[in-house]
Amino acid sequence: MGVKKLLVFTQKNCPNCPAMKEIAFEVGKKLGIPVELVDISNSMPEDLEFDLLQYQIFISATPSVVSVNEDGSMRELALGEIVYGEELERRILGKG
Amino acid sequence: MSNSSYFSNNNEKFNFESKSNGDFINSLLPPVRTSRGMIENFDVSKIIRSLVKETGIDKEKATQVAKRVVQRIISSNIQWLSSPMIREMACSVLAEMGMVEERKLYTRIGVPIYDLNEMIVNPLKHTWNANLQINPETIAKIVYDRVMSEHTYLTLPGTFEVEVPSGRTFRFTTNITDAHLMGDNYHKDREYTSIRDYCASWDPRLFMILGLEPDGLHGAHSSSAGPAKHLIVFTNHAAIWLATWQSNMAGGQGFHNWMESIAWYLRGLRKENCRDAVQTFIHNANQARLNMDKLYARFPNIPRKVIDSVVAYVLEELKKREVEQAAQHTPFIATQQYVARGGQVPFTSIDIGPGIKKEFMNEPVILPGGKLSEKYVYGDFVDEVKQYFITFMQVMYKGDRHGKLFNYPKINIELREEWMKPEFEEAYLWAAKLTAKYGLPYFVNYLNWRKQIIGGCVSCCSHTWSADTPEQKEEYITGNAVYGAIQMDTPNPVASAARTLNMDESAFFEDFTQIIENVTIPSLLNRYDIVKRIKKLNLAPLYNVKRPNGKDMIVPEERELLIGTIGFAEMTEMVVGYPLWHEEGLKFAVKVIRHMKALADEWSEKTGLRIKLTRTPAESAAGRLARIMYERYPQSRPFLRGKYPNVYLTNSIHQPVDADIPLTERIKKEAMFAPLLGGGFLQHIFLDDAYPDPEALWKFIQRIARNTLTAYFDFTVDMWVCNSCFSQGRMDWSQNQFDSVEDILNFKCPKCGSPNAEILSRITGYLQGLKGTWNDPKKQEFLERRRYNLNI
Repeated sequence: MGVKKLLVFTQKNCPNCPAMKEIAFEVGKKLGIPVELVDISNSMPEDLEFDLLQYQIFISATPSVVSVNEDGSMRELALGEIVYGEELERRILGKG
Repeated sequence: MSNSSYFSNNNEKFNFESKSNGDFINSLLPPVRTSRGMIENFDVSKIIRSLVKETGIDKEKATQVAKRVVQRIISSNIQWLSSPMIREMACSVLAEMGMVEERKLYTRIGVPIYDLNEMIVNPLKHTWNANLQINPETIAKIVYDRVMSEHTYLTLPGTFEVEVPSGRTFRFTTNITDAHLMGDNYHKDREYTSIRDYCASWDPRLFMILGLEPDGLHGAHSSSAGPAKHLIVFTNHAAIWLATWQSNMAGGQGFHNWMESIAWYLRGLRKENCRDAVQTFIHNANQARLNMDKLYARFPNIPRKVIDSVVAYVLEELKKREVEQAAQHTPFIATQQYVARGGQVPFTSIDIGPGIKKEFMNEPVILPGGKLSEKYVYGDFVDEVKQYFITFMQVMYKGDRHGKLFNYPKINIELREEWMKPEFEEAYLWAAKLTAKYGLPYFVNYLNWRKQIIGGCVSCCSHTWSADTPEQKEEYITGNAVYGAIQMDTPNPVASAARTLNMDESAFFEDFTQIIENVTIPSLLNRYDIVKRIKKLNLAPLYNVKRPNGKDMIVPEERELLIGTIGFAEMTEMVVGYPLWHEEGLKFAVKVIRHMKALADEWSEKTGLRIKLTRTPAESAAGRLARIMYERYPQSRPFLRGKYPNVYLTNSIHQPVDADIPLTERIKKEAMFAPLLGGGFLQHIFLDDAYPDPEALWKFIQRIARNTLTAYFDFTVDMWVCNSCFSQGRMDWSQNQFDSVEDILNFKCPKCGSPNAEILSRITGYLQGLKGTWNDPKKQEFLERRRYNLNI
């Protein structure tokens, strides 16, 4: 199943978010996958939260990264942690 | 002249305050059997005085009421009088004169003699509390419940002010009682509203540091025990601690950090790698007060090394036996002390795991009395704790002398990343064996989004807690943490859905918001105020006992106020026309939960209190609210579960028990809500009669924990036990078919045919017997449960 995009969840004042954003953009560029930032400082968009919950994902902390597949299904790649380049790549490709 | 004409002629002029007139009237009336247990002369001034004192009306009005009462007694020529009769008459007069609120204040609360006779001979017919057993104390509890519930109904304030930690004062005008009676809001534990806090989870190191004084008055009434120095004393103090607190609270009492607390007492159990065998030997020898020199002298021909080895072996075996006995002690005492809340066993739980939690590994051990060990950190006791865990599971697996399961304490088995290693596999497999056999354990999940929680614990039927601030985290590590809630109130979405059926969704939200803001929140804040008053008046001295860090045991500002959830399955069908397992149904349910959460957050902000959402246990609420809905809102009938009169609402945001959906779908669709219910959410998996392979079950447990959002889950196995031949087994659903709830009462022992056999299952967050204690709507739910074959 192809990965359509990566969602990177961030918040203001989150110390690890800038690093995770940078890594995600780098890996996304390398794999040709678009990256979308979702700032949840104020609230999570309702529809997106529902989709995440349906795929058993809850963003309890940032930075977090979720992959969205071509069929709309989602997978948690990182939750409240920095995942570095190669490891993130492995996880995107389903090897992590 | 008749007595009545005397009054009718002199009604306006007669002066009751005149001693001669008063004496004259009193002499005309029969003597009174008073509530002081005496027979006294009639004294009309007592009526006037009590009316003024108890209702606040002025003397003139009180005299008018008293006159009418006296008129009635004289005109009806009553010859036998008692204080309650006079009070009834006065209440009747107050109502006739339009003084409804004054009547509420003056009325006598009690139980009709017919009902009381019934309660004495058939107590369990008069309660929906499935935790009650038959014994004389139970009758006291049922009478007490009736009287105190009535007191709550009559005294819950209509208009009141509450000062909150944010510094604001809120004034409410509401009617919590009517909202409860009409099924809009379920006010839990009415019998305890004015006198007790709700539930708690404790760190055993509290009594390990402080010792034990159950009266909370430095041993003025009870004896005073120092900190436990031996394992069996520790487990004994633990049992007394929970029973004591159960006498001071309405809901469940649990322990967190049990393994860290017991670790030091397990010194002397042989470690797997024997790295400190010598130390173990020395410890055990000291414990046994052995004088080795005497022993060597007695056996001069035997080499010392041989003596040492034999003694070490014997002492290790003795220590193992001691640990076994301590492990046995806990479930036996938890299920045998019929001492709490009117002859119930305390509602107890312990959170346990097969190791030491990672945040404790390098922390110095707190010793009895509170000193920090210079020798040990908690991480030194991983092997001992694991061995204790296995022993404890084995004890639970074996059951009592007849092999019957222990239903208390509730065993909350923690699933944590640091224990997902091969060396803990055997321990967890024992938990899986216990699950396969009885369905006993509850699994507390820290492997998914909850892995970042520090200071997590569970208690009562399904509430979960965590340390959210640095101060709470510090308390969690140092043995000072006390978690719990003051109250749970449950707004009923089915009532809103019924009132707004076929209307726009926004009408539902408007109605439901009104319940929450006008009843649920004021009710919770009223309870917060009551607990403050209990502390201020020192009505529960234990609340004011200091923890080791100097804080009171109960700090109302730190405790949670819970908004419960119920009937989401029925609500979604009524509002959006889809079942809860359909995407549209789920979407709407999530929307409602988000809305409730936003209100809870808003009121937390406004008040400075911790208001959270939770799963309502609803062993009583499910049937009670459904029955009220059936009777008040006929339009709700097609959506209610069960068959009238045994209709019920589905618990919380659970899928309906009879929903024809695969197990994995059920688990995931329920688990979606776990992160949104900050106060806790327990999921049930109802198993059929097949006996799962423990190894496969353990893998399945891990899959659920890792791949879903679940926070807390259990596997429910239906068992039967015979009290005649003492056999037991799983319910064989191919042989047992029940057509109705009445049919359940005809269940006989499959082995000996005795009717003295009971069915055990999980009513909500605990196990109890169906025939003896479940209420009828819950029995109906039991009949409709879809049970799954794990097929793993």
